[in-house]
Amino acid sequence: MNVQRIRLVVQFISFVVLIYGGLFAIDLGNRLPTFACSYVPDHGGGCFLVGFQHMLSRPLPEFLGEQGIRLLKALGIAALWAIVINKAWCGWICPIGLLQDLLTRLRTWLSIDMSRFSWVARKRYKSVKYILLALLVLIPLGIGNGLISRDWTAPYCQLCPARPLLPLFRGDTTQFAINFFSLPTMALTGGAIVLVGLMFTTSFVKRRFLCSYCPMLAFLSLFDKVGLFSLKKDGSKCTRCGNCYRACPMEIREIEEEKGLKNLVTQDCILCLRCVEACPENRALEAQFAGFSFLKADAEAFLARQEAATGGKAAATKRRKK
Amino acid sequence: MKRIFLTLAIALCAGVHPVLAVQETHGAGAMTGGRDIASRPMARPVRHKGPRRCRPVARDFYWLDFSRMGMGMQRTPGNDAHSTAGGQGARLVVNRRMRILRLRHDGFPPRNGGGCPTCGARSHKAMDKRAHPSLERRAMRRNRRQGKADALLGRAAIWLETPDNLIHRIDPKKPGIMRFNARMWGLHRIFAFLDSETGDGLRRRYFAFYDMFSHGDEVSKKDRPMIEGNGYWKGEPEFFLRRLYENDRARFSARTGETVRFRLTLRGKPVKGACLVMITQKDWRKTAVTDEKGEAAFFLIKESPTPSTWRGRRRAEKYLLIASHMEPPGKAHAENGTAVRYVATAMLRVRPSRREWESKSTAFILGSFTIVAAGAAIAIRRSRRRRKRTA
Repeated sequence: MNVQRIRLVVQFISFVVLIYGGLFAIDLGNRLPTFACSYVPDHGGGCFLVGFQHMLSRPLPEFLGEQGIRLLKALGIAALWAIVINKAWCGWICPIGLLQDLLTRLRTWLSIDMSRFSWVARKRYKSVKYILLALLVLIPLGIGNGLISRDWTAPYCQLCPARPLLPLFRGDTTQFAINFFSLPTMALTGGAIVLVGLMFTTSFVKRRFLCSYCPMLAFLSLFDKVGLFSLKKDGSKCTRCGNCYRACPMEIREIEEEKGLKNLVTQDCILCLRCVEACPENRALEAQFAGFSFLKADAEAFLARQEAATGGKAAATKRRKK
Repeated sequence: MKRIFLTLAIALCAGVHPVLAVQETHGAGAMTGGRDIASRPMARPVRHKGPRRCRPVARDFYWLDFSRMGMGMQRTPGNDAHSTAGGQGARLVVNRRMRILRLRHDGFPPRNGGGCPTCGARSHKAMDKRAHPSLERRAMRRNRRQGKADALLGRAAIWLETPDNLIHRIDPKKPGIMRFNARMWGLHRIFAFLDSETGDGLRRRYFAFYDMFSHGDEVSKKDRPMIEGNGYWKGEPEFFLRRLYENDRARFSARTGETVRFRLTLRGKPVKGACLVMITQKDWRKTAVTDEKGEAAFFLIKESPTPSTWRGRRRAEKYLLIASHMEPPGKAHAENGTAVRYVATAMLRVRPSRREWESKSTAFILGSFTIVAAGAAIAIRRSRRRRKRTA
């Protein structure tokens, strides 16, 4: 079973559903914890951050009444989605993720070398997404209570690269523009365009560059422990070959280094399951849903894949090593 | 080659720089329509001097001013402040469909908004009145008129036409101030009527209209009662200045760069050759004369150049349309040898189009620049590394 091929198909299907779903009367609601941009005309589903930001930009006493219930309801739905599908939203559904993956494939096809952050840099940049998530809550609250100008309304939507990018797939160019209304709007919408440019360029150097700073990933990581998806590691079977680390698009080192860690769904994990596929040891890595194992590391499957990829050289080397 | 490059650069600059882009649209002249009247430069506001047959605005008119939408504020002593806008003793009304309109007689442009017509200052408080004697005179004239106007305001008949074509009578609690719930999805038309007989041999009938779209949740039933009565003639206002929409799904709000069309009817028949005057909040004026169908069109452009501070570009401005028609003695209401003067006003809220506050070309250039700059940075870094390794 080639999981990555299945993942690509699922990504394409979810892309079509989220971007063109409205044309087929599909409506998954506007509380999805993924970059299903609500600015896309006739979208099939919308990102929960849009409504969340607008709900938060209210005076604090209002949260004691109807507004508070609405906010809790919206958060509850998003949290439920986060628990059920967890980080698979990023790895299997996110349209921006698909675009980055496609650009990475293009990079591989063009034989351009990949770069990696150093371990120190990686640790430093890890906190950026949490800072963004905190700002996502604080700025709307500041607006609602008169501390921050209304020009900062929905700051994350204004800054999000999905807003100018995804409507283009529906032929709508209205969002690909800079808003000159005020300095904050200029900065935020300009920032979104810069992020689009960076996403395009960096995808030829790094895998899933934007995901490292995505506040949605930070939000989803809050539900890591209660999520139904989990990645189990059997430390006794791990030989620390480093295949999982090399395959991981998010460059998570813990998969390789931590032997005692049982659940490998860490902060940055996007549940792409490449590590499970890349593991050459039987049952060293295992992907589970609600306790039921659905994908295990398999030496034979690994060899078969390697053989298919390299034309039989890998299998011969392994046999020689044995 | 050099010439092509220069042409491209100029074209890009015009597209990129929003100020230039807006100036470009201004060059076409102010609002034109119907039988066009020559455009004038937009450097400073000048009073219109149209052809003789299109007489300038009726000086005396009533107009419907949109006061507030969304949540209504209700002052209830003893309640705590629940909103930053409300202040002490105010609370938010739960009904979000409430709309508040005001019937005004104090002239247009409105006093608190739009700024000074002479200097363009935002607030009248901010400017020195001695520097503007014209304003003082205007205020005095306005106050003089106010005396008879207030008495009339109390007698105004106000109707609300809902999307299902039902007509509801609104009884204002205060003279000229109406509150109503727009619960239905679609176009709501508010219509005020005043009838005055001053005793100077001229009877005046004032009509004021305001079209409003509401995102309500009730569905229309589409049945129309025939009403004949004060101000109405077979289900529609006697003197009707109606904005024409292309279709049911057309956008009801007006935007700059669009053409708005109006039809003027008197007792159901189109009024040919009537003068329609459009006044903007900064006192720009443009006139048009109605054709055989009673129709006239205005092309909307932004009334002032884009401010260099970028601010205020997305705000809606109020445009007032005034139509007047004189009926000689011996007709429907012109009994006892008195002539009747019909005056109709329609208020428009005009928003600047996206083009005025957004720039796609800037975005395109910024995006391209980012790609090139980031690509170059990565390439340079990699080549340095390679050199280090080889060394």
